[in-house]
Amino acid sequence: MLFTPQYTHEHLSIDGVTCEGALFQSNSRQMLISIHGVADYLVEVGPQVTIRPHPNASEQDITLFADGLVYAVLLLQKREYLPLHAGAIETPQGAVLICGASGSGKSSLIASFVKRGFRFLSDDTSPVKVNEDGNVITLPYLPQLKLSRDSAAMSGFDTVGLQPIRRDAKVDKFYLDLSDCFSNRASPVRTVYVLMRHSGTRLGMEKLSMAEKMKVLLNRTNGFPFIKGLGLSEWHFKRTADLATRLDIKRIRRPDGQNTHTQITDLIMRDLQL
Amino acid sequence: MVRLFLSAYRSETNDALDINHLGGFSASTTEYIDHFAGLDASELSQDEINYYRPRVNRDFALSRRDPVFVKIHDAYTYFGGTPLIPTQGTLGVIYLIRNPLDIVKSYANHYGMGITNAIDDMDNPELTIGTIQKDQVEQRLMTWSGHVTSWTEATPFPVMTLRYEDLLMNTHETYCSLIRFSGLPYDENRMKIALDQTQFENLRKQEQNGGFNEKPMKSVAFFRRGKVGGYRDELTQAQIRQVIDTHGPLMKRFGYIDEKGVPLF
Repeated sequence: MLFTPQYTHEHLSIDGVTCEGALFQSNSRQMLISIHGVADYLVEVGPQVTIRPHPNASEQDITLFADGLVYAVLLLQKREYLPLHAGAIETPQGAVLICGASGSGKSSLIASFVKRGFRFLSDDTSPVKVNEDGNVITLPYLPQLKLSRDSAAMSGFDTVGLQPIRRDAKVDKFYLDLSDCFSNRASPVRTVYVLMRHSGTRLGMEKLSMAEKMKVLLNRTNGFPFIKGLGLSEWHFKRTADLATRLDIKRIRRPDGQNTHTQITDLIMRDLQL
Repeated sequence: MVRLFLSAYRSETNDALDINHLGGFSASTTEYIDHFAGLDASELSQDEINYYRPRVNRDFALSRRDPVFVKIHDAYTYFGGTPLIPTQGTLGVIYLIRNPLDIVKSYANHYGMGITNAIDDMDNPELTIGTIQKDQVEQRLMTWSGHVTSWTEATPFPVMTLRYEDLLMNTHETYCSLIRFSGLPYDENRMKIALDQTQFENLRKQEQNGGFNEKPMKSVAFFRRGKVGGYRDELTQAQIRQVIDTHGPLMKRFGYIDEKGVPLF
């Protein structure tokens, strides 16, 4: 984790709950997230993170949700970066972000780029903001990629000794250590590609309209359900609108059921003239 | 069909209905969990997804300012004592039922299997569909009879049961009933436009030209035939008898067979 939480066995609660959701309770300064069978995470402006593990929870599972959800909430609370649900790699043209729903192939595509020698920035949380020069930049995150064993093998990575992301390998995803090809510096964003499956047979790419860009950025914000609870609805909309005017965002329609990572990588590289 | 109609009816423009950009939500997708729970469904076990689905549905329902339509395939079931669909926040359910004799071939086509396997599936109380690899959460269907019973008996919210056959044979009146049940304002002009845009042949042509995002890979086409009674050309007499023997009570209740078990369509 990039932050140092406090651990406790005491019951965690917050006073003056103003918003509740399926996983959380919040007020203007605190958010209490409960992950069933894993832990309660109290995230406070400061920032301060307190974790109460649930009985028999593993450090592995606690860390996974801290690295994802808690990090997104911390970013949102700071009101500086928008945490996009996207992976990212660094190219000579700038950072390329890959967005898409769970299982759409984001991580496999990132792996494909890494195999071609591009530096890795992040797996599924890409914080973005407009800097003082008016450029959109993104930050690197953890030097690890979460992939299924088959996806890792298909991408040409050694699958021996891979650590599962969840205890007892309850899901088919493993950590791929990418420390050797990790870029640990902020990078200007060149283009965001949104992966979308379709039932056709052809691979295609199209630029998004402003309305479509807004929809992508709004809906692909990590921690979306917590935004209202954090009192950030207006901030989120304004920040998204600003980013939509500055970002080049394209949709890639990929045929369902086909392993098209190589073709998509080629398509993106042609698009970027790499 | 109903979702397409509602998208067309509620549209604020007269633009052609795009079958790949429908309104409303689908509670079957991993994207729904990702978006409304804030969790990555691909990092959750099936038990965990089952734990969160009722809670996400409840939170979603209670957070809406205006009524929305949500598509779901599941039988009305419980996860750990919690109903999948929340009582509070659910204004009503439109339950679309179809003659199981016609469902057999449609199901077989959808999942790329033979008729015998489709009939067996429809009699499987543990039947589930959907995998995360296909952007869907696992959904519990139960048997055809179990699914129908779960939605049409003793639910805690109003349920309107619509027969697919009535949608085809008595379209205008059936959709008018749906509009009334849904509490939507009636607009004759929107009704005309929606009925025209959702004619089966128009949908089939649109899929032929541009594909349909919700078509399963194994299926040749999603908008396939849409005909009532098409099973007579597709199932053997033994297969027809098997379906009726298995699901007869509910088939009779919903007007698909008569007192003697003879098909009415």
